[in-house]
Amino acid sequence: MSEFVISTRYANALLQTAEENNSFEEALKSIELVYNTLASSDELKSILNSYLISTSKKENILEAIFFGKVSSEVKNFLKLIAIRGRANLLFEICERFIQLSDEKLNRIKVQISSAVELSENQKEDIVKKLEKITNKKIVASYKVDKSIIGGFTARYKDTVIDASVKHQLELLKKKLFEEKYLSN
Amino acid sequence: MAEVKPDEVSAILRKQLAGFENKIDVYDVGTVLSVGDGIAQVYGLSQVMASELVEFPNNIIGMVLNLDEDSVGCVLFGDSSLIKEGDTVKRTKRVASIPVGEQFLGRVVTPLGIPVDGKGAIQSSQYLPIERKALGVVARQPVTEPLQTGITAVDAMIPIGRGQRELIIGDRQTGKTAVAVDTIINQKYTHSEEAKAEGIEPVYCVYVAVGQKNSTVVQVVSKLEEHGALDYTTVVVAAASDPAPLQYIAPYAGATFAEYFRDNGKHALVVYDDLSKQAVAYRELSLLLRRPPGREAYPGDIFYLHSRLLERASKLSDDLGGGSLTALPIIETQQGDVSAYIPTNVISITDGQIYLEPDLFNAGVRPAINVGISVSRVGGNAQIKAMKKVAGSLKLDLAQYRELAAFAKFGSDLDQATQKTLAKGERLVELLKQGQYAPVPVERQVVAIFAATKGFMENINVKDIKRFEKELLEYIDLSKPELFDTIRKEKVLSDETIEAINSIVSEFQNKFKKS
Repeated sequence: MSEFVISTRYANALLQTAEENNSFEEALKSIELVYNTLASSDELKSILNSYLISTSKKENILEAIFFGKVSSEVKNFLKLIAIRGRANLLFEICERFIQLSDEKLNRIKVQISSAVELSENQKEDIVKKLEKITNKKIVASYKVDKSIIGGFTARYKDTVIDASVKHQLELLKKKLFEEKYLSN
Repeated sequence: MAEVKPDEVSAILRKQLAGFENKIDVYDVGTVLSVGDGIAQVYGLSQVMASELVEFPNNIIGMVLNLDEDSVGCVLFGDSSLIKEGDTVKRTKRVASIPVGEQFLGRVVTPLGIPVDGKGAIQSSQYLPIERKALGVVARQPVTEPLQTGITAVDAMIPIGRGQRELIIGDRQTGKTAVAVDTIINQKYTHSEEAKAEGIEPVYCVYVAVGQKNSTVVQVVSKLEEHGALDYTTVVVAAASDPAPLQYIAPYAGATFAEYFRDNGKHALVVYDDLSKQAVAYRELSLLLRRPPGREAYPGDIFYLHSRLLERASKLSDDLGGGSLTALPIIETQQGDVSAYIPTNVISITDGQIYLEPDLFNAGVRPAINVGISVSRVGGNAQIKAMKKVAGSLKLDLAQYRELAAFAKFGSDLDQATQKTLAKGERLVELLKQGQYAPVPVERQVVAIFAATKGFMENINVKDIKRFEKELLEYIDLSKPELFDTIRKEKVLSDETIEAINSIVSEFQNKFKKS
């Protein structure tokens, strides 16, 4: 069975439990914490991936790190994952949980890259426009990328809205080359 | 030496840039998870359609074949070493389609429509999808018009009609490509004014070379050019050095080029050389895409691969223009084994086969057609009445000869009747031998077969038969050329015509110098 399917199952399980117990917000915050911790620590990831370390040890490690910092449900969830031998998929499970929560809250994470720092007004405008296009709540993250020369690109899920000068130049180049071929 | 003025240059640039619109681009992307062996697994591309073309960096195009839950499997139409993990993949929103049109006649192109003959780019406004659903029953009508191959043995006993699928099957080096190329060369007549006056419509040809050596393809192209056949032919090349996905789609691309003519009320002929190599390429693709292997490691849908390709060959009803697409697929067998997997599949799909045998080839019978087991399921419906008349007795005589051929070594110990049948059969077999690149028009075939089957060649030595035929036809050209015109125009052998042929052949018989 693919990792995707397994992660989805676990994430869904936690999601449904949290909803039933009305503790969805805390669950999400806790999982985000776990996700960020794992993302920043390669050591932790490799320990959880390792077959040499027993499940009880992994359980203890997780407990020690996250004691008091996560909701009780998530604590039990982590225990469950360790016992079931799926600690190697913890990162994917958290990732999937966050994705499913976004869907539930009708949220989309958008990565906006611009050539120069955008003003608050500009940021607001872009977010408003995106909200209209996607019909969802936008959670925007901003990045300055000089290589796009001018304009901005907004990437969410699999779609890119490209209003950068770099892309326009590429299209121009393509069109000129086309003309060269076609003008025979 | 002419000078280019600066303002000319800027004027040209301005003109080219004038049509360029500045607008925001919205496109869907994915990320490459893994790449290798011509396959790329891509994460994302959630809106992508099956068989859609996607763009990789470095101008490499790929086609989406596997839609899995969390990733998309794409085959690459280019070098996979130019792509690395993490690269961005863009949708083109174009389900695999190629440009088509008359501009492709006389050109050699890749299955994606890009010219490789160095004669400049091809501009096309019309795009047709590579994979198209074949037409239903109502859109078709029965095959009635002949497609003359110029090969006497085929046109007499295994006639091909416009809209038929006839398989050319045989071992390696038995002359399969030669039969197909001769057919293409023979269509030159259909493009002439005389043919138009007689109501014969031109046939446009497409030759698809799959998995062949580039040198072989060059030879074929130069032969076609030499005989003036390239002007109405498109050559689609996916050589052995091209990636398997290109070899896989090449026959479909060829069918698409030909369908352009069919759908516009014209006639087309497409030669797939050969489908065995396409099956091997598809097997390679499927195994790399982790699709479960079946018999001989071919994927489960290998039959569907060929059937949907060959179903596109059809004769359209008059409502849709009456165009037609004839297909000549070629299959290579191993050691004459026609009961292997792929050959049996394709035999069951096509409307007949032409078997070429290495024994016949080595014995000097070229084209090495085994007339006994070759068949055309359209048969006489695709022959002009004149040919039908003479071919009937030809087939019968040859069948009787084959029955008795085993006794030939007893020589003079046999009775008169047997000896006569054997003698006639030998002469008929000799008559049906034909050189390469020398297609014979149908009226000359009719006269030659008539002369042979009515016994005019009884007293000629077997080794003189070809010379007899040649000189007979030349004699008629000189003394009574209107005989050929009559047969060609009337398409039947009226009593007068038969009378005329009888008299002129007897005349010639007396004049023929035996060696």
